[in-house]
Amino acid sequence: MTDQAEPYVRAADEIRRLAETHDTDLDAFARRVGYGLRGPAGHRIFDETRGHRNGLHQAFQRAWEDVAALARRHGGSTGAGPYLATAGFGGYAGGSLRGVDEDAVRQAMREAKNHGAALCDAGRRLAGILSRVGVNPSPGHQVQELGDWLLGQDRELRHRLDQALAAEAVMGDAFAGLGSGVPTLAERLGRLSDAQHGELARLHQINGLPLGRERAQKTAAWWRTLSEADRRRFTELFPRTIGGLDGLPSLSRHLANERVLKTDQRRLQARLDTLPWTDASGDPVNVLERDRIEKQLAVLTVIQSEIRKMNFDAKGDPKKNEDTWAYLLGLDIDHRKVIFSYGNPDTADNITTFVPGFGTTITSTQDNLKRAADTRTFALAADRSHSTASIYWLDYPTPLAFDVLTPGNADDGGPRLGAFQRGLEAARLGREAHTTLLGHSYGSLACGRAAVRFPKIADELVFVGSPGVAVDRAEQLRVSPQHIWASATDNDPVTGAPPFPWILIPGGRKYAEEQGLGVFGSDPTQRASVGAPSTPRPAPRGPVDSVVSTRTPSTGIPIPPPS
Amino acid sequence: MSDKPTINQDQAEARIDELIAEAMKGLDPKPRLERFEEHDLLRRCLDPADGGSEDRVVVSKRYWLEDIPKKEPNAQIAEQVIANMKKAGHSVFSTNGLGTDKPEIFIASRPDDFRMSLIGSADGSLSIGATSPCVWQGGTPGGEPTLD
Repeated sequence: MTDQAEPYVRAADEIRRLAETHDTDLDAFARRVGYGLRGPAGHRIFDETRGHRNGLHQAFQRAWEDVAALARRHGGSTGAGPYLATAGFGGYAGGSLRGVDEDAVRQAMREAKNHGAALCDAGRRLAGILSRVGVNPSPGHQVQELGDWLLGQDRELRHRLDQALAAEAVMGDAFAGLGSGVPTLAERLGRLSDAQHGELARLHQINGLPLGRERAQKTAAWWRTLSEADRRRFTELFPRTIGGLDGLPSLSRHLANERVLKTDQRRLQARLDTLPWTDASGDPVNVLERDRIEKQLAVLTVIQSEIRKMNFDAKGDPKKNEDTWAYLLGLDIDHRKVIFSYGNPDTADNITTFVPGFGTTITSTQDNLKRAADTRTFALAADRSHSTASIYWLDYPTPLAFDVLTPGNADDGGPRLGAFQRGLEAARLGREAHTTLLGHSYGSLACGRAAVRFPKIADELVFVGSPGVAVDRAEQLRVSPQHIWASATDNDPVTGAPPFPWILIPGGRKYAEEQGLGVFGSDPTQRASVGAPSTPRPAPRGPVDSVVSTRTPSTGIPIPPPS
Repeated sequence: MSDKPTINQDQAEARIDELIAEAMKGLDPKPRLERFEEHDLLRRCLDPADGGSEDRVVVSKRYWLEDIPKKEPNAQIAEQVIANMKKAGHSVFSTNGLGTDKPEIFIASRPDDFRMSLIGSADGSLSIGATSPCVWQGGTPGGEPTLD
C-alpha cells in the first residue's frame, strides 16, 4: 500500500466497521412497532421504517464505495465492503388486527430513543471521516437525518399511544348516539389536541387501578389539574365517561349525565319513530321492543322532571342555592343504572345512599326517587339546621326472580357501590359529612358485600327488610356494631322467622328456626348477630330519622321509633 | 276488597289539612304552617297491607310550625296536640321525648287510618304532617294514577 492510499484505506475500514455496527439500528424499533401498533398507523410506520433502513444501508454503502474508489486510485486495497444485514426484519406482524399493545409500543419508544441517538452519533462520525479524506460528507448527513427521524418516532409513538389510551379511556362513549347525528368516537377524538390525548391517556392509567380510595382520589386530582376548557371539552364529547367517574365533583357528573339523558332521549325516540308497527301481512311486530323503549323514555322523562322541579324555579331560572339541587350522578338506561341525589353530596352535612332490592327495574325509578326524596324530607324534619343529600343508587343487576336466592348479583354490585362511596369522599375534598348506607331487601346484601370489602364504607349502615347480609358477625362489616341498624316489620316474609325461601324446602322451616338463619347469613334483626338495638322493630336514629319500607302497612310514613 | 271506591285525592288532601287543624286547636300563639319545600304530594300505593291495587295513590303533606319561638314552647305544644287528638277520638300510638324540646308523636286517625306525626327538629323547630291510606286518585277503582 502506498502512503497516499493509507488514509483512504483506514477511512474505508472505519466506515465498514461503523456500517456493520449500525446497520440494524432500525430493526428492533420496527419489530416493536409492527407488533405493538396494529392497524393502518402501525403498517405505515413499519413501511416507512423499512424504507429508511434501505436508505441507511445505501448511505453506508455509498460512503464506503466513494472512499474505496479513492484508495484504489492511489494504489491501495480495501478488501470487501461492509457486510450489511440483508434479511429484512420480517413482515408486518400486525396484519389486520387493530389495537395497541402498550408494552410493545413503550419498548419501541425506548428503542427509538436509544438507537436514534446512536444513529445521530454514527452519522456525525461518518461525515467526519468523509470530510477528513476530502469526500462529500452527505452520506453522513443522511445517516444523521435518519437518526433524527428515529428520535422523532419516540415523540410520534407517544402521541399515538396517548391517542390509543385516550380511546380506551372514553370507550364508553363509543356507541353513544349512533344514528342520531352524533359524530363517531374516532371523529370526536380527532378533534382533540395532543395534550388532550395525553390527559385522557393518564385517565386510562388511573382506570387501571383497582376500585377504591386511591383510584377515586387520583381521578379527583386528575380532574382538578385539567383546565376549565378541557373539562368542558371532555364533558361535551365524552359525557358517559365523565358522568360515570367516581371522584369527580357532583356538579361535573351532573352536567355530563344531563347530556347523556338528552342524547338517550333523542336516540330512543328516533328508534321508536323508525320501528315498523306491522309487517308485510299486517301483523303487529316489534311489540316488546316498542314497550321497552317506551318504558325507558318514561323513566328519562321522570328524571328530567325531577331535575326541573329541584333545580329551576317557576320562571325556569336556575335556583340560586345549588346545595339543594338534584344531581344526576349516573345514568345508563340500557344497563339499569340510575344514580340520583336530592341535595349536593359534596357539601351536605349528611349523606344517605339508598340501595334498592328485589324486583327493582328501571320502571321502579319514580317510586324509588320518591323514597330518596322522602328520606331527605324526614332527615330535615329531624334536624333542620343540617343539610342532607339523599342518593338513590341503582348500578347493579337487581334480582328479578329466583336469582334473589343467590348472592351473585350483589357480588357484582358491591365493588361498584364501594367505589361510588369512595368517589363521594374524594369529591368532598376533606369536608366532614355523616354518611349512611341504606340497603332495602336484597339491596342490603349489596351493601354488605361492599362493606366487607371497603373498610368503614359509611358511618352508619341501615338494613331494612333484609334477608341477611352475608356475614355472621357485625364486626365483619367493618363498621362499629353500634352504627349498624336493622329494621323490619312483622308481616315481612323476607325477614320474618322463618325466612321466606326456607319455607319452600321440606324441613327447611325447622332448620332455619334452629339456626336463626336468613338466606344470606344471620338475620340482621337478631340481636346476637348484628348488635342492633334489642327491640324487635328498631328504627334508625341519627341523621336519617326515618326509612320508608314497602313492607309497612299501606302508607308511606316512617316506621315509628319504639315507645 | 281493593275494588271499593275510596275518597279521592283532593278529599284526602283536605282530610290531611283537617286533621292538622284539629291538632293545632287552641295553640297560643298559633303557629303559621309553612309547607315543606319540594315534598311531593303523591306516591304510588306500593305493596299495601290490604293486598289491594297498587294503582291507588298515597297523599302526603308536611308543614313547619313557623312564627313561634324555637324549643321553649315545644313540650307544651306536644301536650296540647296529644290532648286534641285524643279528644277527637284518634289513636296516639307512639311517643318519644315528651316533656323535652324534641318531642315525637305518632298518631293514627280514626276511623280512616291517616298517619300523622309531630316531630321536633334538632334546632328546636317543629314540623307536623300526615299521610293518607291508599286511595283511588279519582275516588273510583280503575286506571293508572298520574303522579306529580
